[in-house]
Amino acid sequence: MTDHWSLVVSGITLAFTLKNILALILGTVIGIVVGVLPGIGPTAGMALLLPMTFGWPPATALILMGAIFFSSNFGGSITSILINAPGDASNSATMMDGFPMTENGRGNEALGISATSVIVGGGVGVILLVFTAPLIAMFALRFGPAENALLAVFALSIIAAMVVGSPVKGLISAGIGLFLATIGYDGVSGNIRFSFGVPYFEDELQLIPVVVGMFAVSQVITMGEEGGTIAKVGKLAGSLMEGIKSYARHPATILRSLGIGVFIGALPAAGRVTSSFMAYADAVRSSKNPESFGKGNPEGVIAPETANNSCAMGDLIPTLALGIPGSTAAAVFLGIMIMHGVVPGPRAFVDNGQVLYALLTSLVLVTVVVFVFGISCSGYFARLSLLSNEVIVPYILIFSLLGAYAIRNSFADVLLTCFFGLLGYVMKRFGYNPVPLILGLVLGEMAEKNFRRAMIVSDGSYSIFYASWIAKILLAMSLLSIIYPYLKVLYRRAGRGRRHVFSSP
Amino acid sequence: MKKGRIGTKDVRKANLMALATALVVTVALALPASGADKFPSNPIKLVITHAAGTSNDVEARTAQPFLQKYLGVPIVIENMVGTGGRKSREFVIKEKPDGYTLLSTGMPSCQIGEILFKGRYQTLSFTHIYSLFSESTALLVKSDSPFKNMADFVEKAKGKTLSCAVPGVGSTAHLNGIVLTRYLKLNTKWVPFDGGTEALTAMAGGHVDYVICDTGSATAMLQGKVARPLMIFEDKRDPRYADVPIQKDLGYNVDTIPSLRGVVGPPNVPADVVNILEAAFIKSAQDKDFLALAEKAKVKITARDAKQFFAVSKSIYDEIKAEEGNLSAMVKPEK
Repeated sequence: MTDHWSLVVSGITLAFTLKNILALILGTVIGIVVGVLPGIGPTAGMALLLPMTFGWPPATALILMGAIFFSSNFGGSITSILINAPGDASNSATMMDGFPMTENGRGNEALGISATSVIVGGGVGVILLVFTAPLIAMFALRFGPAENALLAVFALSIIAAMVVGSPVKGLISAGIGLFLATIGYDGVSGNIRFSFGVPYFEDELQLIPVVVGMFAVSQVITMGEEGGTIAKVGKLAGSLMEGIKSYARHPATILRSLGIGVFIGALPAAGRVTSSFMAYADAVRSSKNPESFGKGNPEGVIAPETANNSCAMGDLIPTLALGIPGSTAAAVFLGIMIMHGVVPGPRAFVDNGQVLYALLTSLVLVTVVVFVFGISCSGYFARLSLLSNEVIVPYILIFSLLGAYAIRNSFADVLLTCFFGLLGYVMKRFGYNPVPLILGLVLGEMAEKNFRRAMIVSDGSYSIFYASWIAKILLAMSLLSIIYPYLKVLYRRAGRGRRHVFSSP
Repeated sequence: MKKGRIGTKDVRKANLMALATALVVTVALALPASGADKFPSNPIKLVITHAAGTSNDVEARTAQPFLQKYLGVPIVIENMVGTGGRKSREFVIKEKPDGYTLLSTGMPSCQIGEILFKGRYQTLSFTHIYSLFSESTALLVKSDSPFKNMADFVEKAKGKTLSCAVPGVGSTAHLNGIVLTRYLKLNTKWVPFDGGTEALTAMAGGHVDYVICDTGSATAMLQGKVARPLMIFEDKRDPRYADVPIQKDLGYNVDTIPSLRGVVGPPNVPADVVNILEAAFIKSAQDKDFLALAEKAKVKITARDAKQFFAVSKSIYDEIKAEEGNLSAMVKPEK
């Protein structure tokens, strides 16, 4: 035990050497920059810097990569909140209320919330990573194809919570998303679907052109029409401090989002996009004023941001505990760890304790650096929302299309972004919520592929979908979340009815 | 009135600018021309079939600094992602065969892309330059699985239909698995996942009976004792897993479909250019720093020069051609 503590202490000391602090700051800056650019995420950022670190000591190299891995999320949130263009697909949920807050002049406050969730989500994530990683990782392994399919169905079922008001339009939007998820190469049968002979559609649709188009580009069209400034009130109202304060006012939402983030992160089959949307939908559903969401409700930023940041740490849970990466970015991080001789797994802390404790310490420090960076720069960033639309519209458009191009250096992706920009604009005009479409696209693939894999394993018997207790719970939760809105209505009617009885003479 | 203000000074300035521009252009044009007889004198573009961070990409980036050292020009890596690599192959095959555009591609993914997925390129017409990396395929079970070894596995699997996770339809692992199970007369339910990691995860959670995938994806899980290899599909034992038996040790008369990654150019790259590129690869493959790095990263180096590389590529091509009927039946729409 004393041996172990001396490892912990030496790891922490190692994290605080000048070289490692510099690597940490460099990694954070790079992470935020790749995060800001749509189309370039932490995966590409880490891969591009890999050759540079070959000669470095393992701790320094991993600290740099860990900083990029974690901090990119905040970079993506900045643009989500301020200009409605997500830096990465995983920042999409943040736009739902983050951008409306900016429109209300509260961009500063939204950024404050985002920065605070970095420190809370990341910090709690690291703590869970240190103390419960093997436990959570073993639980995550129990999710097979059947459970993953049911999880996707459950996540889809909570769309119901988000389409309050116009369920038919919401379902149409989700249906389009589900259809889009079937275009291209089908990994289970090996067939190509709905490509109509066009090579571009032989691939699965990329999420970034759809998201950037539906939100940023369609927003640009609206902004061009309206003129004025993003912040419609013409001045900045909220402050960073208010952001921190309003964050603290919602402990229940924070706790649930933390749970969703860490757990979905630990699942290799689902990632940040799913976790942030699930946390968002969960916040909407449990709120007393669900109709206030999408109009600049701070809770709508708190939930996805907290989930997103803790999800990044959740990704690392099975990665460190079992050598099973929780996401694509974590897979690259795992490769880099192996390259530097740090092999994860149950013996990792015995073999490479010092390096790993230095890495974990640095991950905590990264959250602090990002927070400090966030609160010191947000004030300047938020002023973007006071620029005249005539000035800022072309820049948002260039930025969005550049990001779409950067994913695969493909002009076809830019055209697709423009198409979805128009579609998003039309949908908004006619009152169709674009969020279910995005969710359908993300979850459709997960639901379909895993459903078919489960059916192969079970020889075509549906019993696999209620065989395990996890499957039973997920099934029950999905049913419940579909009928919940109706129960609520019934309950209210019953309540009103009773009152009526009592008040009647 | 304003016209008159353009004085001689401005004209002279403009002339000077024109002269300077002309000079710069001449020098710029002259530079590559003076070195044209000596390849390489310009940066070389290396196209990667997959995204940054994938194994093909990471391997290329590992070799990049050493190739730059021995060629003396920058190697610019470009990830041309799409259609499982077919997009980049269709692009490179039409490029100028001057040695300045190269492609790093996996095999048999290249042959499968052409034969099964009707890629618009011909694998064997590419100029094969060098293959530095290879990958083994392994059959793995959970570390606490009842299957003790291959003989035990075959005995327990007889008469049953076990489920096997593979990284994708028509992947190297899938092909090796089809050939092996046909030889052992085992019935198998193939469950295709998106990549080796997902397939291994399903195995580690006990959702499938076993997995066949590349050892590269399994590195960490093998070290973490989550997975246990029963056999490796190779003609020679893999030095990284020297105690794991191969077909020959088990007495199976089954060919291996090898998996390798190599660098090719458009058709008809001149022989002298190929020789220069090949020499740089040979020097890199012997570089001590490079070997140390590869060992640390647990990547398998199997150096094959242009001739050997082409020979392997052709044998893979013939093998897949022979299996074409079988495989297309698997990827045809279910009715």
